Amino acid sequence: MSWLQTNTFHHSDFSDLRTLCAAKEESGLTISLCIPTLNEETTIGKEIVIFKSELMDRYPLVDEFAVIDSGSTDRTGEIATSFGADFYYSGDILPSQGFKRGKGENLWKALYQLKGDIICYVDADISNIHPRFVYGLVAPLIHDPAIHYVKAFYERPMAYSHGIRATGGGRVTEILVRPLFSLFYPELTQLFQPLSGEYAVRRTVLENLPFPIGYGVETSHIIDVYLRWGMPAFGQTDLDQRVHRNQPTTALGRMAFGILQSFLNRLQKHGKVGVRDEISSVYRALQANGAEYEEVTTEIIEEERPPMVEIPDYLARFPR
Amino acid sequence: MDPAAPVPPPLHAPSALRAELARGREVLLANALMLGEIPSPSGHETARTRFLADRFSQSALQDISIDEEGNVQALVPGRAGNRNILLAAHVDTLVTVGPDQRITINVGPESLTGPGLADNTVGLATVASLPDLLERFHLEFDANLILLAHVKSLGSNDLRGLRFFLEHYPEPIHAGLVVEAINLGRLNHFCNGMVQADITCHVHQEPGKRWEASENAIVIMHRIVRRILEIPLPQEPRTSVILGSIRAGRTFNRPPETARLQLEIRSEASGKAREIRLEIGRILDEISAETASECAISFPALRTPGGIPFSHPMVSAARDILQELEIPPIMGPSYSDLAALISHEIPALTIGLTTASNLNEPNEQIEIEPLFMGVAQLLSLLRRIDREFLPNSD
Repeated sequence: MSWLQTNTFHHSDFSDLRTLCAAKEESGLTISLCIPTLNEETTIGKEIVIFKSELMDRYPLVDEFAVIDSGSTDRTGEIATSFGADFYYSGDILPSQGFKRGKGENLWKALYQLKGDIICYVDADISNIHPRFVYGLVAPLIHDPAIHYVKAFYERPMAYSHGIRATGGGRVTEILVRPLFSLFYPELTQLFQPLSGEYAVRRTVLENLPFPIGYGVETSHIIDVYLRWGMPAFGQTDLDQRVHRNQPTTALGRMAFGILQSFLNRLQKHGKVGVRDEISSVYRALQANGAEYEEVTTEIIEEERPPMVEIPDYLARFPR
Repeated sequence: MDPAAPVPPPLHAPSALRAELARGREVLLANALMLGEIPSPSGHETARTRFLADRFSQSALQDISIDEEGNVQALVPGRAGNRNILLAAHVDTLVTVGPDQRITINVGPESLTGPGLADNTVGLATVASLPDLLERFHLEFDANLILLAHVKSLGSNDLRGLRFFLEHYPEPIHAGLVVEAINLGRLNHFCNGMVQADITCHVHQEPGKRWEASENAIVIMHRIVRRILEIPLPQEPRTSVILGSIRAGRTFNRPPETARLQLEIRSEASGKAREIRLEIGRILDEISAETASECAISFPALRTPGGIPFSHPMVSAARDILQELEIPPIMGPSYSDLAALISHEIPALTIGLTTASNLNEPNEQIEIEPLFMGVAQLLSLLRRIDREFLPNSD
């Protein structure tokens, strides 16, 4: 049987949470949940309430739960703490390493802040949040020691003000990442949604991965895990639907640029391509302002954080 | 310990319950969020009732079942188990969604926001949360608690699920509480007579005739409305006719062939409501004859007056609890679920749990802080009913 058949799951495979918690207890594994945030006051309360109620109080699947924030200017922090979540500003974690603004930074620092053997990341902007967004991802890690990294996939309706239109999500995946995987890492095309913001990973894997702090974190991780542990390390779970804010095309363009930088970095590092001249870090777009046309430039530098195992503070906290 | 410090109230006092509920609110809010996002129009409540059945099963309740109408029930067994208290909340809502739409409920520190919360997602979520709340507060009862989430209550279904349950439940029910999300302070203990009337009138338009000369159902309906409003209504017993909706036509210049009027007759005396119903029928016959139109009437819902008196101990207990929580009572007749219990001679009350705004809008908002008072009220009332007011049984 192919990897696609053996390592692709549906969340309903794991919906018996009583049994899943028993398996978790038997395995001795601990699970930490991380929600990275930047201005998510609309949806953060709901995520916290549902995860706390269903996955901590009702079924003790999650041992620890934290919101790691990049510096929200709305009520995200106030709402998160009002519902009893552990809320951390990313800049206050590992102060010796400074602060870099970016989602990857939050994910990297979560590894230091949280204590679980498994770290589950769930984005904060999901309006149809449900416990399956966690149990569907951690369950394969509980049941199968050979799996280290489980990605979510789903149908991604875009939320409009008057309803939801099916399909149309995953544009950067289909237009950029899948073609790149097809060219350079064909086995990775078996992942439905490599860029999904919901995934669960063993600490022993995460602590050995560099973390791009910007858009490239998911893509880089997938390439790094693949090259070191191979396809058997991956799993993916169908979570049915994920409803979230839709990003405009201009934002997706910047995202694609950041991902492409990280991807080229990995290709060079592993000798798959050589780049003769320096590559620009400036993303250039065009816009019309009335009858005038102008170029809009954005500098996007995909910095990377080193693997956590290279940070002395981390090794002191998690001695080998 | 400081002898001058105020003695904290016992945990089971309403005010203490309220404080504790605020600390453990996730279970209640999570149920409201998860139930609220499951569409449940009247007659199509299956997804919600399945969720509830699972919830009851997770709490290891007894006798969990979904009956032929779709009602879901479960039993919290009592210590003595020879008396039964029914807690009922209706499952259906007025919210409908298309095939590509979904319901989104959000929560902030002060409120829940989303359609259908006030009627009656939050009431239903409270009943669903009851097993967890009883465990949290170590509340036990001598009587059995029957938790009932009943279906097909709204609109033309007219409490069909609740009626079916009451007609078929094999054991006596000694007291009942109808749980509604709004309004905090609501306390109904009786219902008046009520008749809903659905009137249609249809005219015949000759083909080829110019529009300005054609028969017009709006004109006929106008005559019907005028005649209904001329019916004398007594001040005692208090009686009223509420014209609820009128529909006819589609565009500016085409006289409609059909018009529809929906109204409700209310009276403290059932005989009076019946009298007016018959009078309206007579008016329609007369106008049909005068205008060569077809006027018809049907009665989707009927209620007979009844209930427990103001002096009943259950009412007094409910008022005492509201007073202790400093909630002004909002009293008056009910015309909904309580009427079904009354018709089976079950001593019963309807209570409301919290306050709301933007009613029936997509951004309907339920206040969370008052909800704790409402739930504290419910738990305290259950204790009082169980300990003080149920008749001894052999």
